[in-house]
Amino acid sequence: MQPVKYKPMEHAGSSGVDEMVLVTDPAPSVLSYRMQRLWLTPMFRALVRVALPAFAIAMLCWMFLSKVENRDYLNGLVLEAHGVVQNQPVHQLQTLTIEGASLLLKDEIRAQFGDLFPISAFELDFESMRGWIEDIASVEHATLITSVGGLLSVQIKEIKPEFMWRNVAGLHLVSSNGKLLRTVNQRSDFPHFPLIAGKGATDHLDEAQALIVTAAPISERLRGLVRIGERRWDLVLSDGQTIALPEDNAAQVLAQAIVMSVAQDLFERDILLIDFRNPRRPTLRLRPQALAGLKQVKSMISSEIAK
Amino acid sequence: MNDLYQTQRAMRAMRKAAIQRGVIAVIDVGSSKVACLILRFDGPSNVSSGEVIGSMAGQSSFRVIGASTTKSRGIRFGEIESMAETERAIRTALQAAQKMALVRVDHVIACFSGGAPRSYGVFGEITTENAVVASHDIGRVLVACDLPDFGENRAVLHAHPINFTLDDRSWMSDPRGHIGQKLSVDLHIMTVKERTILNLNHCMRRCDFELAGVASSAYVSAHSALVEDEQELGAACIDMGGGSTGISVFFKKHLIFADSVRLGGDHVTSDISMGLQIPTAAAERIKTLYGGTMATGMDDREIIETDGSSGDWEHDRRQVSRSELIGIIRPRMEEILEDVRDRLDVAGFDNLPGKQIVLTGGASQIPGIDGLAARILGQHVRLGRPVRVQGLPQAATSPAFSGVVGLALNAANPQDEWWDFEVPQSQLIGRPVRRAVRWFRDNW
Repeated sequence: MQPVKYKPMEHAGSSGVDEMVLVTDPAPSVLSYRMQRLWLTPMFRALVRVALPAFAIAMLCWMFLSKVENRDYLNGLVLEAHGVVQNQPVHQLQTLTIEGASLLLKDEIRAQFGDLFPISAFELDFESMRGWIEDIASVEHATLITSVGGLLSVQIKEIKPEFMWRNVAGLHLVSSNGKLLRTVNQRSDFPHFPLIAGKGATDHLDEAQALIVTAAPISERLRGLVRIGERRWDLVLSDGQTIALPEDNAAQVLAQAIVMSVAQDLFERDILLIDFRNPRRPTLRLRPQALAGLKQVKSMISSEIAK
Repeated sequence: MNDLYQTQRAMRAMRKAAIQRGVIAVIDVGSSKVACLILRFDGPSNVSSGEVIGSMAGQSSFRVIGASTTKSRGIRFGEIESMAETERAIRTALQAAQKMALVRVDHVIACFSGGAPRSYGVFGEITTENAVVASHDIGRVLVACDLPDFGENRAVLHAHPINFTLDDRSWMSDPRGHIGQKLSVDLHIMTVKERTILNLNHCMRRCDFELAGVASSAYVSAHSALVEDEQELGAACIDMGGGSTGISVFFKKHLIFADSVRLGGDHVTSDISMGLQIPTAAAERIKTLYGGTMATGMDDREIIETDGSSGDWEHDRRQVSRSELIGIIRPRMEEILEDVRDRLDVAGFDNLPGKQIVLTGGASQIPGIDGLAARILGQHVRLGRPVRVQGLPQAATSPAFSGVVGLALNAANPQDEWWDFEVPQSQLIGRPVRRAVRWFRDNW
């Protein structure tokens, strides 16, 4: 059995007579009971804890963003932040270097992009810049590389011009495969490119190259090549002399013609056209005064004979 | 009877639905305390994980997730006396339990001890339609029981079929499929005053709860306090509550008798209060701390200070010896136990093979009660505590909680009752119609 120990009883309000003892009902009120049951309902809990805050946040956002000035303010903030990052010194591109391009091409690229620098790397549209450079006819492809120190280096693989082509529109530089690279104003700007002319000339540049190589002995007199009727070549020399070549074996015929002409000193004579279209039967056309002289000489000779 | 059948079936359906949903509350509305447990049913898969056989042999299909107890108010002799006060007490218990469980519960099973329970053994007999007993024959034989007059405004609280007899074979638990002609049933019916159930139902409704079942606390506390052998061999469970003492006799695992004595621990307290002229609260405290039933020489020398706040210093500073206290308690306990003895004698408890008496309930915690009970009730007396169920707080394992724990067990594994069987509707509804048709035929 439990031993007896004295345990004093705690009397309500024993500390003082005047102290009011508030005995509250331990039972929950109907309202608090119902509220608590409501709070323990899973759907209601989810509604209050998730749906309502989400709705409130969405509502506040919508109210804030529905005003134009607020949207502008936010946009301004974003732009400002962008600007701060973009204008960092590490992101600045100071200089533009171009490698692998001719002087003319360099100048052209510099004229387009040189004014932009210094520029932030974020603002520069590398893709369109590369596109613009690659759209230049003489550029095969271009690579843009940024490196430390604000350097933008453009590495270009350029197509080399081989010929100068004259047509009704003017003078053009042409690559070895017939691509038009550039329009030039004066022949004297690029005197070292052989001149070609005539419709369809650019389609047979390998033949033209062969002819030019073959014509090396008379290269100082060679002015250019003319494609005649889109089928054969004429060699034009200084003083308006022309060597007409056949369609086939043009280089071979030319070599033969040169040998013959040099041997017979044809180029020194007053001849307008040396016609090798039929290599077996070369024909010469004299200049008009030479022809007149020849006629005069012939008539003198015949009158002499008649006398 | 039809009305009752329908309401009880509705409550069964509600209980089934609540268990399916997973949570149900059980509440013991007692005279001295209101105890509430909230049970969560996880289904059988969760329980037996990792174990060959689940703990408590499958009885632990539920888990207690909320428990609360509060001093009851407005209840005397296990019956609701003041509606508003009782509602507050129930609300306190339910709210605290829900708060602990963190879940909202909508269904409650309640048990109470009052309502002057009476038990009847009734007998019904039919001849089976075919040679084989079919399941509707069970319903027919249950309807065929001739019911005694229960009295005015009394309702059936429990109706357990305890024994089926087919021809000459008795003690069949399930006669379906057996071949036989004459099927008879012994039905145990327990009735209480109808208004106690109605009041309880009304109270629960006012607390926003649906009553999913009612039970007698004498019946359910036996479920948690008696072990299986005792239920099988015959035992009486004495649930000694605050306002009344419930008696239930079990045999072959069925309730065969139930009664209650309208005396309990509160009467002991009021005796002490009157005898020592101290307030009820002080008397309750002295009873709990120093109470006993067997006085020894030592107790003469043990002095108890009677506190009081009457303002009279001399009156508040009196001292009593423990022997005096025991001298007040013991006659009242003897009276209670003798009343119990009388009820058990009426029920013929002595004829049972096992004469085990199990004392449980809050008043059974008084020291020496087992010795006292052994003198009055017979030699086989023991003190019963509720079985352990999963999640039950330590504070709710005392004998005072055997009612609510037993109710939880009963909610998880209910015994078959009369309304669990399909009764042919023609038997219930068709009778007046048939009588009307017969009257019509006779007269025209």
